[in-house]
Amino acid sequence: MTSSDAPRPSGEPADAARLRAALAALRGDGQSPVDAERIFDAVHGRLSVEERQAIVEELLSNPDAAEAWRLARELTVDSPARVTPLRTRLRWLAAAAVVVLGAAAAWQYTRPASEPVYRGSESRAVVSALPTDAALPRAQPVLRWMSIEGARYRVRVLTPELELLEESPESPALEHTVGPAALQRVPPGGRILWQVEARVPDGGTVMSPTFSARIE
Amino acid sequence: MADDATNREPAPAESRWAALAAAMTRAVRRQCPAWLSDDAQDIAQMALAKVMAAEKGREGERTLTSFYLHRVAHSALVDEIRRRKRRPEVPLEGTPEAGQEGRLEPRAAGDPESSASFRELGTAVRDCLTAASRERRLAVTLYLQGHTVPETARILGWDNKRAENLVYRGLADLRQCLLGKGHRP
Repeated sequence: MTSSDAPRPSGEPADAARLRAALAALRGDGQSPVDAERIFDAVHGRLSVEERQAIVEELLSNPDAAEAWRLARELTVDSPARVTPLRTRLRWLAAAAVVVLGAAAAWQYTRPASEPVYRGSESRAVVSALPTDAALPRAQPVLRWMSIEGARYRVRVLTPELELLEESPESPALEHTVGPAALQRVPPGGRILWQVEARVPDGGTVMSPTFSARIE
Repeated sequence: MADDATNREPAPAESRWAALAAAMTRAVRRQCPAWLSDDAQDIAQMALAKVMAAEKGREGERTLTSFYLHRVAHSALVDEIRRRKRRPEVPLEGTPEAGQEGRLEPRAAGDPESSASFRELGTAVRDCLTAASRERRLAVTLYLQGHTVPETARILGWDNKRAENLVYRGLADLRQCLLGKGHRP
């Protein structure tokens, strides 16, 4: 099961990204035990339908499990793997190796018939290129962010009360200038929130955190 | 991946350990975000420790598939990513230098106030979905986790049409519920 084998519907509701971001904003205590391996199995269809449904049910009540689910989805795609250059470090723990040598001797490897193929997600996070709470000149309020290879971006600008001020069309540009109509609703020194939604070439979507800026 | 460790003649224990360690390192690196890549070896060690713990006391031989190794590697990565996201955040200052973008560690969230606003809306979304019918709840939950309708259908064992109906009817219910709670969806 991958996140890339079907395009997202072009008629996706306009509020879907905002609702996703709101649900993702829920934080667990970080201490709850999360069975990431079981979630991994569910995302990859390795469990029964009933078991998968039970895990999906848990995502609402357990934000930590929901976070693990999102990671399982985001870290796996079915495009050819891209291997991160290896920085050689001989830091294997010799003692641990000695302990497990005997056990390792008994193990055998087999190649499974259905093996997921992974791609590193090194470039799949949308990162702001502006300082936190940047002050932007009203004459040229430009929002900027870091590139994700091959992605196209949609930017949403909101009030601190989460009212949508404007939404940009999808574009490969790495910046967005807040329009005059939106600016009219922001007092001098007022804050805006902004989010970037990146559509990556495999059809998936990467949402940025919500950034803030001040309009001078 | 364990592919090059496949179909080998029985090897000495040391070679098998080396093969396991190398396979785990590859499994970690293929999933590891760049901002975490310097720690990939350490994470592979943690993943190996999980394998060891799982094998401790197990009787008989066990076949370790590359799917299994990837699953364990994934689990160790998730643990580490979650741990780091919960560390105190250090704001980024200015524009990173060229070529450094991929190594920036994503922050857990952006602005604290906006995060609080989103959490409030998120709580309302959760409450509304909890009160929805089970099928619509499942469909919308997966959709809001970022899955497409076809993915939602496959995970939940439905056909696409059914999943599509449940997602969109569930979203309609959700909007109504949010309005009732004073939130504009």
